[in-house]
Amino acid sequence: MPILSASHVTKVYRMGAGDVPALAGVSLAIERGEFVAILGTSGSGKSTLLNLFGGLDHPTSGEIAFESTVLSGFNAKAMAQYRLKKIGMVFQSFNLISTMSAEQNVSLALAFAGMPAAARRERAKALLASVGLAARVDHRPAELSGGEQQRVSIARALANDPQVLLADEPTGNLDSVRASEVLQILKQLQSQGKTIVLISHDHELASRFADRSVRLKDGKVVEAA
Amino acid sequence: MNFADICQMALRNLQQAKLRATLTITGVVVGVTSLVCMVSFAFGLQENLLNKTLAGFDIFTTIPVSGASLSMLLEFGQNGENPEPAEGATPAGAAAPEPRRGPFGGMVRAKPRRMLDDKAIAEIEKMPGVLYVQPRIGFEAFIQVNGHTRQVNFSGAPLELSRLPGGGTLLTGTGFSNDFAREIVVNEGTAKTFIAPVRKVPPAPGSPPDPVARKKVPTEAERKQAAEQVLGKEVVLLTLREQPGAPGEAPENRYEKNVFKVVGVLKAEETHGPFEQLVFGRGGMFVPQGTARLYHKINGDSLSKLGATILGDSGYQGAIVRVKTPADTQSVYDGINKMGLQAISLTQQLSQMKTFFMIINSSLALLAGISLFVAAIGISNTLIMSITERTREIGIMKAIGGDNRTIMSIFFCEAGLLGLLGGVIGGGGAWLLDTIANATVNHYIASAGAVRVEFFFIPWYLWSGAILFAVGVSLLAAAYPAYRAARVDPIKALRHD
Repeated sequence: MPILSASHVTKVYRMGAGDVPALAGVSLAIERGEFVAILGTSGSGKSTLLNLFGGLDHPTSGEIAFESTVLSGFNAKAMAQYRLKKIGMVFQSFNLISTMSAEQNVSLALAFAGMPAAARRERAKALLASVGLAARVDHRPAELSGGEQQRVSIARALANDPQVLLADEPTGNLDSVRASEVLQILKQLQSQGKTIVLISHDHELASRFADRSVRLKDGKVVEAA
Repeated sequence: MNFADICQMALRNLQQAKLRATLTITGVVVGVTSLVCMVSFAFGLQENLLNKTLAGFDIFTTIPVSGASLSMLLEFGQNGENPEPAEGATPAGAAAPEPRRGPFGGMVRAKPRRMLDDKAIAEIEKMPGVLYVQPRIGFEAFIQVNGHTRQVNFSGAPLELSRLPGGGTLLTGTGFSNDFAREIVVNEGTAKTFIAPVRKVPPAPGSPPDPVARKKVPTEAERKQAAEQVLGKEVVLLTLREQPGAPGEAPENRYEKNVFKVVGVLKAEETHGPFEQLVFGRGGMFVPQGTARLYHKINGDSLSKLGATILGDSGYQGAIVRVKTPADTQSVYDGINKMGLQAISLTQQLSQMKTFFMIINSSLALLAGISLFVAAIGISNTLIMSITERTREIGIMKAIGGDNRTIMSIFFCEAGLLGLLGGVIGGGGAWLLDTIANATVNHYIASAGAVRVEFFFIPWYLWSGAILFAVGVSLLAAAYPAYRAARVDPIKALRHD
């Protein structure tokens, strides 16, 4: 049974000038513990697909399922719980709260889960240490490098021990050395049993770490290897 | 996310925009201050009139009574020409007046139709449950003290001064020797005006202020000592001669000088300040009851004298009936009204007055509420600006699992904190302003020799109510911004700069 699946998914954005199709009948299954890279050029629909997997958006038609449970049946609260407990998201632009320290950014996800303050501080520090930022817990995002910020973002995504990590171009703003470091961390997480879905336009880099690649073009799967 | 975390987050957000939060809080402070000040003024009036003045008169065993005026009695035909005026009760065979509804829902009796004279007083005294009846009669007169002439109001007082409405305790002196004596008892405030003022020597330029000269509250012994200066003082009461002198004659030959002696000074706290006159019309100078009746006739205006001559008597202006227990009040009250007199149920009046003050309080609160409403718009504006600035942050929170309820709670908590801080500071500000206003007003009241009055009164429930109201209004103002924050689309928000 796949942990994540898309079945005949379409997504059409309704704009003022007309409809813009982003996905046109995508079907895809991701097995537990896999490292899957979704590749494609800009506008191919890969980020849209990731947002649907992440429960940030709903498909226009078709179904997105997590462990065979269809997400479209979730209400807003259930969807928030899904985002909180089942998946972790890593973004290209890190999306850290600038006025909070690294530890507070990680703790926020734990606070949403209702963990007591002292326990979440400990866990946040342990998570930051696991991505090599033990000495940077009190630093704000502006005081960290891009690679460090992305590692904080990964630590935050892991806060509530999700089964799936969705990474949207996590290396897009990093140089090749830092990009390799981040992907290495994701690879380690796969080895610990996490399922990784990586969005990238860098075929070469992705193929070094991913178990398989799925290429999207104009909202359709054109190649799966 | 628990409540403490939400509060911490809200506080952090407010600290991010200190100036904006401060200005918003200032708006709430102004609103709450004006609200508390205005309502506390109405509370002050209510406190002085209902709780201090009336409390001193033991409203549950006291019934003020009034009779018909001379003009009304003449209209009814009780002028001596009517061969058989109704015995005792209503004139010309009229039935006892029926009660009707007053403006605030209380029962109001029809106007009295019988004279309140000695006969009526005697009838009331015979009623079961009546302890005593104290008729009220007063008159205006010109008096001469310390060589100065002035116009004053005199009230008739019983030999037993404790029967005065609100009680009467002598600070010094003996009280009246008999019911027709030419003697005066004054209250402490009036006594001060009988003492010739001492001209103060202004301090030399540049010299430090004299600490002794600063005003202080006098002790009981000092008050007594001051009052004793008035004892035995002669007060000349002027009246017109029965047979005025011929035109051209010296003015002093056209009036008589009646010399009275001050025989007692009543304690100031027994007079209950300026509000007592609203209820009992009591002045600050007293003569024996018999003397008051005599001068009431002599100094009355010519029409009143004519009316009294036609009717054979002028009666009393009113009376205070004291019953033995509160249980006797209703039966005596009904009995007096059946006589054709007008009894006032103070408990009923109290209820009506409370309703009246409630309306006043509500009106003032509504007026002051406008400023709080403006403050609420400020809070709403602040939160909406905050949402615009923190759209991306809201998107991040949603992306990592924050639900709509938590997002809304953060904004409600921010608004609640703004309201709470504004409410507490505003309440404190109002207390400070009220204290200053009370002190300033009482400074002048004290220098005039009157009793201290709390013009502004803030009970604990007004203070806490104002804070709760400020928080409530703030939460209400946050409803739309919080809803808007919860509706933020996380995908759009994450793209927001």
